[in-house]
Amino acid sequence: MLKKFKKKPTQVLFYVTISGKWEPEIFQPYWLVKQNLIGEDEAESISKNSLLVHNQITSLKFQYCKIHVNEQQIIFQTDQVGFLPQTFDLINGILTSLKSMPASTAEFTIYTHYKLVEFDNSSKFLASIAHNTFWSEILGEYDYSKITVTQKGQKTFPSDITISTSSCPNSKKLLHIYIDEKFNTEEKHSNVRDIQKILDKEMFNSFNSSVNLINNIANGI
Amino acid sequence: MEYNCEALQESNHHCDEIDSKNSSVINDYLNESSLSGERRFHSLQDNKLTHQSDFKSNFEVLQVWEGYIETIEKDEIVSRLYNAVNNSINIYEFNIHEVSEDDKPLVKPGALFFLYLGYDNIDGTVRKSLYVKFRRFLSFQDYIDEGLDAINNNKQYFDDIWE
Repeated sequence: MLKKFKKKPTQVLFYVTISGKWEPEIFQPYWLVKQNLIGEDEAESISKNSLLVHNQITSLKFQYCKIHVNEQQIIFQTDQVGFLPQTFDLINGILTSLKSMPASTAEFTIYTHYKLVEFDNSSKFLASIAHNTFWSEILGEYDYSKITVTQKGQKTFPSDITISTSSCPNSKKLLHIYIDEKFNTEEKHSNVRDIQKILDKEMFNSFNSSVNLINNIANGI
Repeated sequence: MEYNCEALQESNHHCDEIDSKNSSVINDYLNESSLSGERRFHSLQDNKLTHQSDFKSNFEVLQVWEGYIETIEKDEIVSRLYNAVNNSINIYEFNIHEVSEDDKPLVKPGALFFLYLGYDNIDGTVRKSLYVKFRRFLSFQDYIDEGLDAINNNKQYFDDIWE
């Protein structure tokens, strides 16, 4: 089960990015119908309202998620925890139908946007979580605008985790929290099947530990 | 399910139109998709960095259940719903008319679905809504057919095995 945000973000986006070698033009709504991943009415609606198909890029918008495909990446995007299970079904279906294609990494990303409560501006919050004297000795007065830390994932598959907190470009009262976990396959010539093993084993765990991290960070804002 | 070739051609035609008339749209999408990391959440508007808010569903989910059809009698469907939030299971009865035309062929005992409760925003009008979306799984019929065709085409090699 996916964890919930203890403090509700004002905006949230979830991404699953699969890197490999793709042919964007095959990702047409009726290809998904043929794979039994969407219905014909849904395909027609996508074709009318939100379809962009080109040999370098495809973009399809569903009610619950959006897919961008270029020659290097397939990016699945949704804006609500409640839509993640249905998005996972779509990801799994698409990857199963492309199981022999070369693919190298799987990346799970959560981006959240919070309104500060405890702090009157995001720089003060960022200073409180990364207090040091290095910059004050060099610069005197300064403001933090972004703090990024990286960590090696301790899971079945090796991963690199990036945690970034930054001021919103629109307002100092708003804060962005971004967590990205990137898994590389250990195989030299990896394909989608290798990526699916990572997804099966790590996707829910990765999102849950990211939500947990965000809850801990948001607890202090 | 039939492969809708005409519709595919229509969408290809649509693609050609985009190619010739709206190349800036494609360039925008290419820039957007090739972005990696946190930068992909922002865009430049009037020389000011702003939120991209790329995807926003018109349905705000309040609660989602995972469902499983137990029995179907005429148009009445009896199902079990699993609520992952409190780990509870409930019986839920609904009518086949509540299922979209797209999903009706999927309605059979054992079929899995999501039941969404939330707010639907249609052209600015927001109303509370409950809808059923059946889960779809990859069709393996093509692979099975290909495999059977291959066996039939190479029948001589399999005769010994069958015997």
